[in-house]
Amino acid sequence: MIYEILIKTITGFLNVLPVLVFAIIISQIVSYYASHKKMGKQLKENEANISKATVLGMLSPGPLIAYLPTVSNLHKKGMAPSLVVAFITGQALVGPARVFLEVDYFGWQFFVLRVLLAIFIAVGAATVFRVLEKYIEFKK
Amino acid sequence: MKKSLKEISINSLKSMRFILPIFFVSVLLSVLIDQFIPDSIIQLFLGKNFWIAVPVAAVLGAILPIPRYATYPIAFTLFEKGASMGVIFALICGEVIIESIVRDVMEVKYFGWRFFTSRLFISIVFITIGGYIVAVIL
Repeated sequence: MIYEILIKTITGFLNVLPVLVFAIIISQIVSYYASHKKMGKQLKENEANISKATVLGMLSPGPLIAYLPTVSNLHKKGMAPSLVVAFITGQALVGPARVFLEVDYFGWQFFVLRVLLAIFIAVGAATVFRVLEKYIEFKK
Repeated sequence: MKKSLKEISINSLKSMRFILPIFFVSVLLSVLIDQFIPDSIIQLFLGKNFWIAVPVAAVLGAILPIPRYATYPIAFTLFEKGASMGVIFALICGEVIIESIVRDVMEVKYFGWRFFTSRLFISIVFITIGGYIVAVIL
């Protein structure tokens, strides 16, 4: 039983390993050329627009933690919490590496639908935040 | 060119060192789910009852400490055993909304508790709506 489980695990892991390694490398390439500083600058230039903040978030590679200081500085300088939500949610929901893994596991249809719905989720959440901003004071 | 190649290679190897072992454990968990949890249980709780299962999957995805990308093998096994696509969608999206404790602590530090909890709650609501849409379409 244990032997069978181990064989299935190793086989399953080796089957997906090429896609995973490829996804990690692509993610690092995108990260290198679209650094969080460049994305932060784009975010600043499009600061009033929830949809653009969402798309910028989705196009931003790498861990969100790298963007938080930049986004926080923009927030302190006046960027609305709703735009922060749009960017963070967009960035978290979609990323370059996920394309390959999701298409490999679930197919193009699922991935395209998830990206479209991710836009809906990020824009929706940011829109609700835009209403909340009028009634709740968020930390600056 | 050489500098960029070197930096990308080093960062890729660093990422792989972290992600590959976690992914292996995730594949092991998916094999254990496949071996020990009957299809009928998955179909009952995550297939037919997707109206309840989708929000539960969104919340579970958010609160379980599943590392990045590690959801996919588990989600795929659940899907093969009969879970609805809406549940899979909610699980994957829930996992990314709260990715790691370190990131969450940083978010609270920069933006405050109100921001973090509001974003979490509102995101789960919208992920649930998205899950229902996926369940109907796919």
